Amino acid sequence: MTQPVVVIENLVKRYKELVALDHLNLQINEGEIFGLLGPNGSGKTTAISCVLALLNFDKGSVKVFGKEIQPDSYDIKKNIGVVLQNVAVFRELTVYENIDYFCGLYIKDKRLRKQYVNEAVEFVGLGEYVKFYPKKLSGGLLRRLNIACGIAHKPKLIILDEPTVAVDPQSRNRILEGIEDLNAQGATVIYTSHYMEEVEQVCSRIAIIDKGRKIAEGTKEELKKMIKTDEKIHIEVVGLSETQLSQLRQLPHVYRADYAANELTVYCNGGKHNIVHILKYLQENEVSFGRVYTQLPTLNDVFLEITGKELRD
Amino acid sequence: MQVFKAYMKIVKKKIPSIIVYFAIFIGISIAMTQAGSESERKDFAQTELKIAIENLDDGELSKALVDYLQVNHEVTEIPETEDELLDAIFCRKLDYVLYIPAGFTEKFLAGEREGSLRDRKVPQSSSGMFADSQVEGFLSTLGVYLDAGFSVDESIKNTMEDYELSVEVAFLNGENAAEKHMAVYYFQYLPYIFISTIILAIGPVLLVFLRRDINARNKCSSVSFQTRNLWLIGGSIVVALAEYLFLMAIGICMYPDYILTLKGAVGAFNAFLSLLFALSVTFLFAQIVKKENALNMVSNVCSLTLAFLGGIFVPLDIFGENVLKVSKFIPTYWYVTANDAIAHVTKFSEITDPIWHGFAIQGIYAVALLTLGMLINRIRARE
Ligand SMILES: Nc1ncnc2c1ncn2[C@@H]1O[C@H](COP(=O)(O)OP(=O)(O)OP(=O)(O)O)[C@@H](O)[C@H]1O
Ligand SMILES: [Mg+2]
Repeated sequence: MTQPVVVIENLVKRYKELVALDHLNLQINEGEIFGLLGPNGSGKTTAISCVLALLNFDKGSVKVFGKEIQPDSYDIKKNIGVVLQNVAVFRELTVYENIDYFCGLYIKDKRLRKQYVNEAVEFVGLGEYVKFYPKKLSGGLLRRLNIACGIAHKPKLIILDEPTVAVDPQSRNRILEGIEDLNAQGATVIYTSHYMEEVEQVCSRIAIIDKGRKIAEGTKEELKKMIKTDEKIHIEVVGLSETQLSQLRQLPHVYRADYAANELTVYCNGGKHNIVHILKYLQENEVSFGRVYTQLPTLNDVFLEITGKELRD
Repeated sequence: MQVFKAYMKIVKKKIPSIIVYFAIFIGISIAMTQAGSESERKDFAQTELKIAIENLDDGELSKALVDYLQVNHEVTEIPETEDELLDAIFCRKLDYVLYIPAGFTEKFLAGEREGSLRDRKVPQSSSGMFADSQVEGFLSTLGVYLDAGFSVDESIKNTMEDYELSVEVAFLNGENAAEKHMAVYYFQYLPYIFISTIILAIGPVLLVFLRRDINARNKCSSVSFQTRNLWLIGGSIVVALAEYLFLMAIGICMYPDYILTLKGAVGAFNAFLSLLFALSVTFLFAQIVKKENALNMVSNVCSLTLAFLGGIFVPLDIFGENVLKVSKFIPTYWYVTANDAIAHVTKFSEITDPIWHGFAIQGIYAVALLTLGMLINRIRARE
């Protein structure tokens, strides 16, 4: 029986007029990589800050490891690893000194700490840079340092707030793999992002939030089932007539078809071999076509269908 | 402990800039010490005051008084206008102005001896008081001779003779008393050095830890707010103490005859209190200020204000009464006052009230500012 690690109930947080969190309910279970997906300003950081008792909130409750979290809940905090959205490292200390400092806030034993710090350095791949000062690191390396500082003490719960913002693809992959490793080693992970691809790639369960409200929750498969689209087929087509487009819309399982800039997009729900039927129709009507590819729905489609707007603009 | 260790690492990296600040402020202090001590010593060494006299009386007594003053001082006419007069006093072109009203001699001989003379001077100035005491002394001696039945001429003659002798004696004593030990000046400048260098050396380190991102990250950890703060204050005290001991060691090398006595020990304690005050100021401003540049400004404004108004750079006796009223709100005023008084201490029982008051007031300031700093810190912690 897995026990919930974090339980957020009816959480409301207001900044003056602005309601940043609007009766938010979340439950994060042990062993999950829980993704909090939402566009900029949707309240992800605010929610994280409440979980860490960095903010006072107006209503609701936040329980971590079964206890209400307070600013002085040090026994809870010692099991949490934090990677905040704003990189928080000492510019005056080297990579190694930084990790040692933050690890030392949790681990008093010197020998053990040394081991942990070295493991963290290894983990984020900063071995060559231990003597560097943060200002000499690239954006991606700096993020990795930020992560190393947050996880070196091997916490049971790891909270990462947009750890991959402004990071090159190489560092990003390294970070994502790292998060999966940490999870495999037994840590529960909360991961916020507005990149759906990332969340889709690593998270076992996802909550989508918008304007401080949870609009959907589940595994990525569950989320995708919530919407009509099952399959999107893109075909390069030249000279498709209006009649032909409406005939295409009549095909079984097709519920929508658009044609613009020589690209035909067909949305299907359910059914098999949809692509074959469409191509057959085009051949029979002697419409020439080029590249063909199909796409499974993304979380962006989920977000689009529920809110009527793109996740990212 | 972790906080303390990081604190020290950061301090270590800032040592070059700390040494530069230190050298600059010690340089300024040495320059000011020399300028200050010379001008002050001149004040006393020079008996010759500049006195302007308006004499509307035509009797023998007023003439005698003017003659007497002329023997030892430079006597001039009163400037034409009030503005010129005030200017002259302000710029110390005149130390003392004496008005002798018509009928002064007559009144004096009739026994009406108080309150007919008027004078003007720089309030509380040593030169002004010196002139006052000469005029009063001369007239009261004259009065004694007259009362004793001497004729007017004889009384004047005797008084003149007395005074020509005693002035020299008084003057010699005065000079001895006025000559401050150089160690007193050394101590006098310490608060200036403490305030300017501690704000600049410790302030930036505190700012690092109070920076929003680092502070938020620290708050997520399992080290409590109090513990983190205590280590920060501990680190600051260690750095400040190192500076204090260094300056005391220099003092001992330069003036062992003063500092290795009871006065020296009491003076060192006084300096220690001013060190604590400097630390509290730093802690407070670190909470308010966000950028290191702003700290430079704060350091300059604070140290100069405290140095000038507190009487570190300029002797307190040139201040007018109103300025002095303001000065009394400034802890360095109490430091300097205590420091001057400490120079006369030879045994423990001679630690007088001004010294204790100085200690108490500096201590109260240090505690008050630290508390205020803590309060702001607390409030900011819950933002
Ligand atoms: N300190 C604050 N004062 C006032 N409003 C704030 C404050 N912090 C956040 N907000 C507002 O609250 C809302 C939620 O902000 P939050 O930072 O939680 O969003 P986010 O999902 O983390 O966004 P991002 O992806 O940009 O990090 C935003 O509209 C933001 O403008
Ligand atoms: Mg955010």
